[in-house]
Amino acid sequence: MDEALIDYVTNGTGGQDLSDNRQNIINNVTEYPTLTKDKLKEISGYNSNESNVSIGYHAIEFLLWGQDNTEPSLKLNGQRPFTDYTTETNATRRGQYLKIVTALLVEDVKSVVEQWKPGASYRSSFLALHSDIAITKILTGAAKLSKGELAGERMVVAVENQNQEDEQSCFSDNTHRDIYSNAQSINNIINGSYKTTDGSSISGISLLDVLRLVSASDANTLSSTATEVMNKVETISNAGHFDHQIMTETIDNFNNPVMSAVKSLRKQGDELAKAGKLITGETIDPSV
Amino acid sequence: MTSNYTSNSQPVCTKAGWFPLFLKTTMTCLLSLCIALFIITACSSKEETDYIALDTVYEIGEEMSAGRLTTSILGANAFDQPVPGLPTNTDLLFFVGNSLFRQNWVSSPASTTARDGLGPTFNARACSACHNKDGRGLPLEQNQEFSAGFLMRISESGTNDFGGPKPVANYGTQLQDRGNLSIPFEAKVNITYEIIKGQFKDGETYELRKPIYTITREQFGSLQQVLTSPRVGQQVIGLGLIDALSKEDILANTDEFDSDGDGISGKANYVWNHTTNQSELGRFGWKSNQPTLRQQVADAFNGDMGLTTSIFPDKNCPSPQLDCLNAPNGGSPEVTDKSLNNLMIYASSLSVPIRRNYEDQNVLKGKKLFRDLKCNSCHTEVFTTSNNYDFNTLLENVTIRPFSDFLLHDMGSDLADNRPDFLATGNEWRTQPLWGIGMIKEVNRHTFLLHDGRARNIEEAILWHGGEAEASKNRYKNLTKKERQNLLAFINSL
Repeated sequence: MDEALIDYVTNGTGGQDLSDNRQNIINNVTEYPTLTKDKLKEISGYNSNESNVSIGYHAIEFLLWGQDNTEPSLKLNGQRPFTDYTTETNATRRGQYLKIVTALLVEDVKSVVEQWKPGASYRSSFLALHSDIAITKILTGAAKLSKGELAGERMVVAVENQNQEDEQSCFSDNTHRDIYSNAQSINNIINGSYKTTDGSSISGISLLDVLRLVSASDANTLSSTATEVMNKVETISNAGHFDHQIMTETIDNFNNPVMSAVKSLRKQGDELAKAGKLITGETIDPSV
Repeated sequence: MTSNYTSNSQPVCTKAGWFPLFLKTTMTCLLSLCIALFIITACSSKEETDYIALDTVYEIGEEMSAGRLTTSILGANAFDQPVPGLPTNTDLLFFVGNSLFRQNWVSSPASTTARDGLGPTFNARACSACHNKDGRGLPLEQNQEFSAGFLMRISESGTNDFGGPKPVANYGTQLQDRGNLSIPFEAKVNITYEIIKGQFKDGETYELRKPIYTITREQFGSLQQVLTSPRVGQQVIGLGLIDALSKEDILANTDEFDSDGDGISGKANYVWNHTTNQSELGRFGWKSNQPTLRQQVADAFNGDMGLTTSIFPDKNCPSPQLDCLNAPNGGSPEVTDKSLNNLMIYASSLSVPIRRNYEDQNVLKGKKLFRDLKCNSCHTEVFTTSNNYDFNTLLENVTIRPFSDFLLHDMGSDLADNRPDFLATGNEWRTQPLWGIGMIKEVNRHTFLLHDGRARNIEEAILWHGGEAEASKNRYKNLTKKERQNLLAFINSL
């Protein structure tokens, strides 16, 4: 997240002066006289290989909460004053930026929803795939999210770097919920059911149903690992303040909550890859 | 020079040449090969009677480019794979290094203190920008001011204090074509192509595109007279195994003054090691201008991304770039030793993908042609890593097939950058390892090759060879279409 490109940040180690307004979009009125969707997309490098991380979910998070500059032991999230949107310099532009990036996120999420509607091009092409290829795609996503992305990129990296902000939602300190929700999304596929926001349940054929046809013992193993994963991420979620939790952990000790969850998520990733192999014969790489 | 294929005392059973099939041998190392021979001959042509050329048959283990550390995972992530068997702790740090490699660094200060300090001037925001999926970068295209993977080295005539390229006043030794917000970039590079036409012996014609570079929009004085060397990012597979080769094994192939008269020299570059503070054998980079993987990584952090390390602690802001000098930094150094170490674990642990189609007849015929044309005079097939690579002992004593001697060769005036780099002259380049080359298309969705990506495919890369490789190239041009296809099939199987 390139927040110093979006708005003012606290005087850092390098000592960027708060009055130096040249280096961020909200306060550089000369360089960016009008803020528009297209302008912010252009600065972020939208649709190109390399980008400034200046739009998206975490940009919204930063604009709402602000930088978390307190010690993790205080268990506080970012403390952005509401006056940033009322009386402070460029308050109006800050509000514009927030509204624009929110609208962009809504557009992007909507485009995904649209693509999965009956008759939409992605849904149609996905349904036209050979079932082995379609199953491999589903399980590749689940396996990589479990082992490579969540256990590796999101949790191990944060523990190893011992950096309170090397986590998903560093401004709002909501990372414990991100982890839980990420894990839940994998579990939904394994068990073939999920609860919607209105509390109703949607269910269908699960991965376990299919796997059981091929190997009952592997289905049982995956089922118990999946339960283990959810228990462990629930512990993390209940404790809250992930930046505080990582401080007492090291990556070579799997007995504490975060690294214990890492171990189970890695195991689940490997078992999802194995499930794919058993069902389709295709190799899935759960790591990267 | 000595025969490359057998010069490294490898446990390889065969040697190029003819071998009587009916000969009963008791050499155990040949036994399984003979079985393989019988199987192949049993189901193939009946024309071969008494003799079969050993180099047109599959050799056991030849598909294992990185020996026992070869990855069998192919597809778009073929270059992303750790070597098999990493201990759990190292495997976890591999993820940490992967994250440092893949994610964008941001300008300082930022909440992500582990990842801030980009620039102030830079070519790329992440290692993965130029080595996408650990693969190969893109060349510059016409009417495009930057690419994902291209940069321009510059220097003046003469050398610096360490015997390396002499920095250009106000700029240094590399053009940073981007800057953080309100920091000026140094200059931009433009490219145009001139088409060169040629012909194979069979009459088929081909076209090569010769790049012509122009430096534009210089911010700190003219650069029209400086020495230049365009580069694209290479795939970063198997680097730990190259790092683990012994100096002696690489030097064994040198023949700087061509005393064996085969037209192939093989020259070692000696370059400055900024950790040991002495001149050492170079083995990484397009001109073998980096002695170790760690220094290669630190140099890329510094030159390409503007990030300081304990090896290169100084900000890359030559005077008079005041805005650059005065900009905030991301710590001293910006990449901590711990992060550098994790990146080293990552970079050194990247495997090499297993070969494909290695038992197909056209591939096996191509392999024989590769040797007949003497491509392997420089593209050395086999090495064994040393028995003392303390950083990662898993990489010790591994038989690898990099298809490179890691030495410098005169490649002729058409490929020359005319910019000396330590002992490498303007005509000399390091032999590129060919392992993994056939997977670039799937990983990076392009097939641009050579130091600046001018070759659009493997055949064009061959046709650009000159100098010491002129004779091999001409032998290639004399082949029939079918033979050329077989040779390309072999290289694509690597």
